[in-house]
Amino acid sequence: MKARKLALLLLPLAALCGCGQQRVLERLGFININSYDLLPDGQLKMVAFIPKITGEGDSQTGESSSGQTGNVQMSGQTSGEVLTTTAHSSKEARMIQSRQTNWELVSGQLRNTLFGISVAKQGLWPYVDTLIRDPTISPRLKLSIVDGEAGDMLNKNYPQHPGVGRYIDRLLEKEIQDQGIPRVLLYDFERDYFDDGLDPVMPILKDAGDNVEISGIALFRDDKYVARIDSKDGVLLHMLRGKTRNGEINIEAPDGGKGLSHAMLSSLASNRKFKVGKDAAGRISVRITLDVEASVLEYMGELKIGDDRQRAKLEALIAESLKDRAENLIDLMRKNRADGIGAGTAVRNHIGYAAWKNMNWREEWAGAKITVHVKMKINNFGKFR
Amino acid sequence: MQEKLSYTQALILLYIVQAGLVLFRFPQVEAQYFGSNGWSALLICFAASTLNILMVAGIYKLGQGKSVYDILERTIPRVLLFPVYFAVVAVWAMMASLAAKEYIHILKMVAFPTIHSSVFMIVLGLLAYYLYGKGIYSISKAAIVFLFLTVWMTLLLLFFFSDFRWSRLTPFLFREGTDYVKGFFNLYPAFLGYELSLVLFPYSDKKTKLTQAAFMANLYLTLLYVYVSIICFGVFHYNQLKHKLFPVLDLLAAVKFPFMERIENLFYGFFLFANIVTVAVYYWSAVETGLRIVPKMNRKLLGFVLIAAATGVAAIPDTLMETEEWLREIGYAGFVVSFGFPLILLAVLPFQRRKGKSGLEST
Amino acid sequence: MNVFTFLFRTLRGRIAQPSGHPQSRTPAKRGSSDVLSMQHVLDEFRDCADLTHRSFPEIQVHLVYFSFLSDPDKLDRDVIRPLRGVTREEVPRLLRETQFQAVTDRKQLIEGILKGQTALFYRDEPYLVDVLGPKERSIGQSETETVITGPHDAFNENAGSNLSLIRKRVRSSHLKVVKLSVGEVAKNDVYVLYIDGIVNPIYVQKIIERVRQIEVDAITDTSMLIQYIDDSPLSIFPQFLTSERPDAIASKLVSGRVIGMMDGSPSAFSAPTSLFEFFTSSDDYYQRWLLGTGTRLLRFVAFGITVTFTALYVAVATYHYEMIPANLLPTFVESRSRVPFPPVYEALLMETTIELLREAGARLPTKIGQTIGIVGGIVIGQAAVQAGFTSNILIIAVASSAIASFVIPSYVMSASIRLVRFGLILLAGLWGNFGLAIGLAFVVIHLSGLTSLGASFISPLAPLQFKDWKDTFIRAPFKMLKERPEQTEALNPVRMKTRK
Repeated sequence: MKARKLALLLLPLAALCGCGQQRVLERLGFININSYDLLPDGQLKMVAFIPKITGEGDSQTGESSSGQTGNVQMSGQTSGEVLTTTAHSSKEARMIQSRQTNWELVSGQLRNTLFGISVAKQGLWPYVDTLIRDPTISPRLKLSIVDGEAGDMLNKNYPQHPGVGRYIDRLLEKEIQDQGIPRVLLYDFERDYFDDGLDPVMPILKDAGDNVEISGIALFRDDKYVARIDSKDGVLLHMLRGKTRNGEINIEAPDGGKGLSHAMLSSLASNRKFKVGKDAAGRISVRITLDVEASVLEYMGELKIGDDRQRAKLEALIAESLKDRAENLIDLMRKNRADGIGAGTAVRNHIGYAAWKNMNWREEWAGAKITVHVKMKINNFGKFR
Repeated sequence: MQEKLSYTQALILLYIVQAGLVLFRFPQVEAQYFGSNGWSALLICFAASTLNILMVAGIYKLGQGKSVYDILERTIPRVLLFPVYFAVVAVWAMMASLAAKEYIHILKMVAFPTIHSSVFMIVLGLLAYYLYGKGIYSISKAAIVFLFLTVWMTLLLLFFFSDFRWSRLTPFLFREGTDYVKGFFNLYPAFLGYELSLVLFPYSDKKTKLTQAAFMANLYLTLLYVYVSIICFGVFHYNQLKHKLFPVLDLLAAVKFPFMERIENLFYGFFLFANIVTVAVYYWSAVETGLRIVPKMNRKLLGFVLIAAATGVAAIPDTLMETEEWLREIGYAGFVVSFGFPLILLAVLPFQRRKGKSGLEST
Repeated sequence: MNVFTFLFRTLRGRIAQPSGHPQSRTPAKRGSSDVLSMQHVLDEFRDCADLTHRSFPEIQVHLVYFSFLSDPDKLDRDVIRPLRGVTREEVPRLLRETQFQAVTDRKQLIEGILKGQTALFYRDEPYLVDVLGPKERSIGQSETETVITGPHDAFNENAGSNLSLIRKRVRSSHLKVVKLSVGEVAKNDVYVLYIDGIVNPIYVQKIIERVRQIEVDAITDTSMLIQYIDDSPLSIFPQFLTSERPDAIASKLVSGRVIGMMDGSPSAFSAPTSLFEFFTSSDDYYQRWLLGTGTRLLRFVAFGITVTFTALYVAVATYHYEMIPANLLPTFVESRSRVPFPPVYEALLMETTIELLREAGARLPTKIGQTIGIVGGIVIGQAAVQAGFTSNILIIAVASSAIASFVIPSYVMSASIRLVRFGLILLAGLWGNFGLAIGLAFVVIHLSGLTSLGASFISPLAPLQFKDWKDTFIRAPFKMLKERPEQTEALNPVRMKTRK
């Protein structure tokens, strides 16, 4: 009886609020990638890309829907709508954009945000802040920087890769999977920004004619872009930032002085350890130990990889090379006062709160003694001796 | 004959009642007021709530499981007790309605920004009334089902295993916090709920081991909180946590399955299960107390009136911030009730023991 | 007790009174009920065309019986032939033979005739002869509850043969049967079975009491009977388990439950019941334990799917587009793009179609029913998608939740659950996931309030009895199933001696 009473009360309510608020799938324009650029006059240029997946008015739809799904995705995403606006704020830009389209624009499916390098130099926080605030935007949103104008990348048609949003998303996804670039999701960036012992990093994309390529990794000081490292050092950065499980890196090792050789390390697993101490002068010193294991499937050089002793030598050479490269990388960071590897967290956790607060880590980081030690181990070299 | 609650029923009931209130934001409170490793503040709250439960245990023992109202009314004239009862009813009913209101406000933010909150408040009020009307024994049964419907969600946090860094927790205790005392009072409502075991005396017997159940519920709850907070502090930085209004929701939002993303949209709805039990049990306790003021009144009618009134009052704060402010204040009041009520009882009881010996024999 | 039910019952009772109850038509003043003359009997049964009255004037014997209720062969062999062969003097000797029972009570006489016995009057002294034998359905397979392995016999409409099926399985003198009668006019027999020493007598008493309290003209089936005696008649869920399988019923008996049967109904009910019992099948015990466990878990998964799947689709398509992963989004949007209705209407349309198909299939003969299934399922589904009436993802959702609902062994329960689904779809269309949660909370609260004979309806879950989970959610090896379920509060809870 109670149930009935309740149902009776619910019914008029149902009639009351059945409308409004609905976000029915087919009426929505899902922005899946957007970009921010700073124009010379100080205005913000915002571009949003809405993939066209509905094929409305297209007589092919009926056929393709009964065909394979893969086909649908390909044919459905050939193009999309690009909305470009300039405004003072990102939300204002959204408003203007929604006036330009027949779709109800939503950002719940936003997967990627690109920042032009101009914005990144000014500081990303105001934009990231808006992104975090909006409850419809996923914390798994990927952030990247574009070398040049980010908006151009969305406006450009890559004929080999229909649907620029999906293309860039997959590209980044794959590189993150292969640990060539660090994963920078919205909440990763936010966290690194707030963490006082670590500075954020971000992948850099570049328009390369017919393709988009990952051209490097940006280093930040707080939210400002300060420097970049080459994309070939991406895995190394990953190794220095934490555990690596499945990396791939090309080593150009001086082969015992007998000219250049190179080795390809694959299935690379590494572990990073910080050891914080003080040197004789009382300055902070950080010793970074990298424990690397990898298989060498390609090696060009003088050493016999099948021979135990020579392989040990090769391991030492690779370790040496990695060490040099890591130290160069760190020097670049130190020069730019950016701690992209999180040595600060180790120092912070070691020296105690008061000392940490009294110290200006950025300055200290630039001058501290940082050493890298690499323990290299080749765990296999393929099925050929 | 009224069926008595079993040990597990009492335990789970109290556990869910405690968990329903501020589950989404307590890591933020910890970070804001206590700073680094703010989760340890939970242990302080745990100590305080354990002390409070010991007081309840004392009352149970001294009063030999008699209804707390009977104990009070034997010594203090009923007219004098009315203001106390009234305060208790008001606090408990408002805690219920404001807990519901906060839930609704978050819901609005997450999914329904334009629907008026009173629509949902009425729906939730009706649902709470429906649950309330089933009586405490059925409420406790529903609590068990709701527990099983929600408890597995804690496993979702294991998803963050790879993101978790112990180094992010920092070895510092309570640095960069603001006001520890204020923090304690803001965090403590997360533990409130065990005080309702006072009302459960007549619904339990020796086998229920009510106070043990309350203690274990509190312990499990603390473990859950510590687990969730440590994940929060290890996945987010504490400076970041200070700015996150609902860190637990953010955590859920970052979980991704191949077939489903943004699961906070779905599971936020599931938290209704915990919330509705909390709300219904607070209402129920308020009615139990209210019946002492108007013993002749029909229980269901009083429940309806009370729920309607409390829902009406909760309609006044109309933004999330205002609701939180109200909830904070009612949390202080709840704290006062949870300690004050047992204190009155403890003050009265020794008095009665002397007097009560003869009284007991005569009955 | 509910006001509605009470009203309903009293109303029905009132209707029953004047509707020609044989006893009520006999004026009480006309004489004491000890008058057993044939004339009274014929009076009582006047206007009954199917009553046969045969006289043997030379030996002053009269036979009164319902010819369609008796077996003509038996009648011929046991009554008519012996009567033909005797002279008037030999009649008293003949009537001392065993098949003739002297009757002293008028009520007994009338009931005997109604049951199909033949009344024999010799100088106004009545006797009853048992020559019952109306045709009955032979014991066959159950159509609604089938198993793959295990016994295939099922109850039929005859209580005697049903009791024999149980007796054959439980050969114990402790198996007690209480016979009751229900229906003021129809006087149907109800048998309450229990095992003395195991069952908790409270439950037996409760059932007997409730059956006795029924005042209605007629009850024609067990499924109808249980709606008169369950705890919450207005609930959507059945609170007693009905089954046509004697093996299932026998196992309920030995687990300490009370069984009820009705003459004229091929199903028996068992009580107290819990919700989860509706998800078990005898098959679970006949398979190996892991397989049995797997099947059981599958059924609970099916329960989840059938209740929430379509509702979730509606919620996601209407409100929570964020939840769709990027890979699925094109498929989703594309399939929705040509549908002219909002998702709720679309879902309700399809769900109704499925229900129509199911009902049509159930009402038609098996062969046509299958055709309907094919025509409906494939043709309508395909055409609806192509015409742009529904999206194919919805078809998947609706079809899988329909199939999932048929996995649940109890037809009554699966029908109830399907009904719940409609409510959830509406709520999901209204408030998305929140509506879904509201609906689920409502169902859970309702279930927690339900009782079966006063015992909790969601028994091993709440009150929590982990011990019973191994025979509820899983089917543990028999070695571990040592105790009877807690819900039955059996006097003797141990079902298996511990092997040392």
